[in-house]
Amino acid sequence: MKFIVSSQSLLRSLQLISGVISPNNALPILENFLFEIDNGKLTLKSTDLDCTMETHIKIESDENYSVAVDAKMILEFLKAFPEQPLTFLIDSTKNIIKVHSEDGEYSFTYFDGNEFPKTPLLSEEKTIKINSQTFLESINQTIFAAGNDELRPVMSGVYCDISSSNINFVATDAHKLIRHKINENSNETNSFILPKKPLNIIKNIFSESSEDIEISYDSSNAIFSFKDLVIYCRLVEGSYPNYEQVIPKDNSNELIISKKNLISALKKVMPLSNKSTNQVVFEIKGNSLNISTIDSDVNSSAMSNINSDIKYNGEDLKIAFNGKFLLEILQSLKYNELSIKLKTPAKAVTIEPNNDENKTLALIMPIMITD
Amino acid sequence: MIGLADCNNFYASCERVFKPSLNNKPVVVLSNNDGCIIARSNESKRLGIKMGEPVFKVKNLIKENNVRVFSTNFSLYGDLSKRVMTTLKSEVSSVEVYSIDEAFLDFSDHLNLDRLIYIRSKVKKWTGIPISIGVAPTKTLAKVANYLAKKHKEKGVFILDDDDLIKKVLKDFSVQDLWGVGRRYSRKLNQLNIHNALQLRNLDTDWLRKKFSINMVRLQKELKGEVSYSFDSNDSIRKSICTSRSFAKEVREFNTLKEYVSNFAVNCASKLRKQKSYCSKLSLFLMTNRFKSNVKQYYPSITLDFLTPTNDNLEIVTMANKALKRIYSSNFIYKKAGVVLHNTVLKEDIQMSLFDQIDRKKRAKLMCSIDYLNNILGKNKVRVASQGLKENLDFKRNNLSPSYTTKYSDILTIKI
Repeated sequence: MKFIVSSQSLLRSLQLISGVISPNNALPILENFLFEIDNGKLTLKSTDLDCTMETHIKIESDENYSVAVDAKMILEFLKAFPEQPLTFLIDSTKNIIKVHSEDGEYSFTYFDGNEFPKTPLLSEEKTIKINSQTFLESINQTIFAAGNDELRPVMSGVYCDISSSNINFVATDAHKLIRHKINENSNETNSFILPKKPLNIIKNIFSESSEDIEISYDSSNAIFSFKDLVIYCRLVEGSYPNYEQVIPKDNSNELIISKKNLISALKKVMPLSNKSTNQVVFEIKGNSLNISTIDSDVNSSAMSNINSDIKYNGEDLKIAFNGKFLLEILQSLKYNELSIKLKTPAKAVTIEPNNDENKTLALIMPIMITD
Repeated sequence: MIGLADCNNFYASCERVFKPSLNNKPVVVLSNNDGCIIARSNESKRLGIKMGEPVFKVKNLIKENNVRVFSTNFSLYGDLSKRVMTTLKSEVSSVEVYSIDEAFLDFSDHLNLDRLIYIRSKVKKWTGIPISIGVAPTKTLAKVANYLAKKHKEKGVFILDDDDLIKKVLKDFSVQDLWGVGRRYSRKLNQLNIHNALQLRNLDTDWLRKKFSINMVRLQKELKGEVSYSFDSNDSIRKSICTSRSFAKEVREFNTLKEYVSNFAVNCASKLRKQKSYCSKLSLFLMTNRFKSNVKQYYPSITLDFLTPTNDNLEIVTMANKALKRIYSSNFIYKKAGVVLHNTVLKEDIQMSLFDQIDRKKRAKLMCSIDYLNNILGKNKVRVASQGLKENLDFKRNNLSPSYTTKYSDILTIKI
């Protein structure tokens, strides 16, 4: 059997779906691309079992066949060719693929395509459509806050909480939490947890597009469809912690502060903080904030004061945070003026951009301090 | 100047404190499960009994020479060690306890031979334990000085302060006996024709850095009398705490293993509470018997995170059992297990969790009560159910001496 395909078009398609392949797989078949030829259409697939990527190319061929080809080898091989048609001849008696180019002939072995893992099918699927830039922003705003704890896999993904009028994207590692809200009408309420790996792949692929992305899902899998690309991913199993319950509603002390000033102060004191706890202490008095660190192991300390672009309405307060977590949160937020609401040194603190129409809310749990 | 006080043949000396009839007689102390020889009196050394030797190999030698054999009695050794350290603290401004039988002493104020001789005799008089003291400008040289002090049986002290004397001593000091040079490094040094400590001191530092790690460069600096390892007065908390043991009999059953692991976890948690710290991570490892070459080996390990740092028995045991479930395989028979608690922090550094559902004040009170009761009634009298009901874990200790100083029933009685 034979098919003809453009060298550059095949290379681009394979590069698009190569991100899911991990090196040193326990199953050697997972280090291959699947080539499925079906009535003039070449479907290319890659998978790590949890996530499968699929794309299509039109080719000249009349037959149906499927083969699995070593991914690293075929990518390197195709990179060596300028744009030209390549003819692939599959010799099933010897398990060999011969490639004819304008100036040569090459051959390599392949695996039977039937050995490649089957792509999941959805049952009772539901579908939502989101603008790809909106989706991308939601992922960018939340994914950094997800955890890496193997005991609590539900916290290692981004939670999509769909209601009739909006979708909440939520991520937490139990020490910090981000909730990003988008307005999107949906016929029903639903929720699922998307794992980090496919989201990171999606972030890179959709960065320059403004079209809609279609997300179909059931209780176990989600499928992202975008132009010629389809990404199947296994959802994280388990129930997500009740995030609404931990968002405090009665933090009566409010600090309005410039994000730029706060980041600048944190960057000054953080290099002198304790390396294992990253502890930074906030002392808020009147309209002044002192941020300090101390590392008694190496006898270093730092103190930075903010008294401009700051407004505090509440009791004097001393509270400590993991400065690394705080910086991650601040750097993810879009607007400069922030509203930080606090209650006591042991209660969760909310951080919200002031002009954001309640779209993004961050939560950080303090470090315990004793006077 | 930094001093190193090292207890002579510590475990064997502890056995002699309350049994003077053992003086001048050969004594050996065995490892956990009475497996190998881990401490020898000078008399046993002279008989040719080697350190780390399995006891069955020297059975005849022990019998023929009437060598007194003891199982390890850590409650006795731990208590006598505490007494030695307290006595040392009464004599110098600062002490860095390095191990159960060694401590670095701060002599930056004043130093002379008489002071060292006095400290040594005071420790012997107050605790019954003989010690040797070596003093030098760095910790590594203090170790060398201590080695020489042990050879001066009369005085038992040595000051290594003059550079010419240091060079002379290092010339006769084998690299493999240096502090921080393991078997692997000493073999590599020997292959490069570096046999004594003076040769190592005189090497080109850039060459040494290329051939070895930064630690070897630090060691060379110390040999030159420049401090690489500064004095630490032990005010800082231990960053990790480990309890690991070999089992008397190999274990296959999950539930038996769970009992061991639970006990190790409780032991670690209790040490954490003693230093008033909390851990963020727990590691568990299992080992099959590596000496059985015909059996398939399995050395799994796992590290799990606590959402909120803890020193609570219940939380730590639960986590240890979760870890065990993840790495246990019924296809193997296990010889050893260990629990390590790490990333320890003090109370004021605890990163709180958004989803913490434990009433920590209540649980701290519970731990306090458990520690109080176990202190009065004896170790593990109040226990977590998964620790099992056995009074003592199944470790072989056939030659255990009484715990003279830590158990009411073992206190010496004198008939007048």
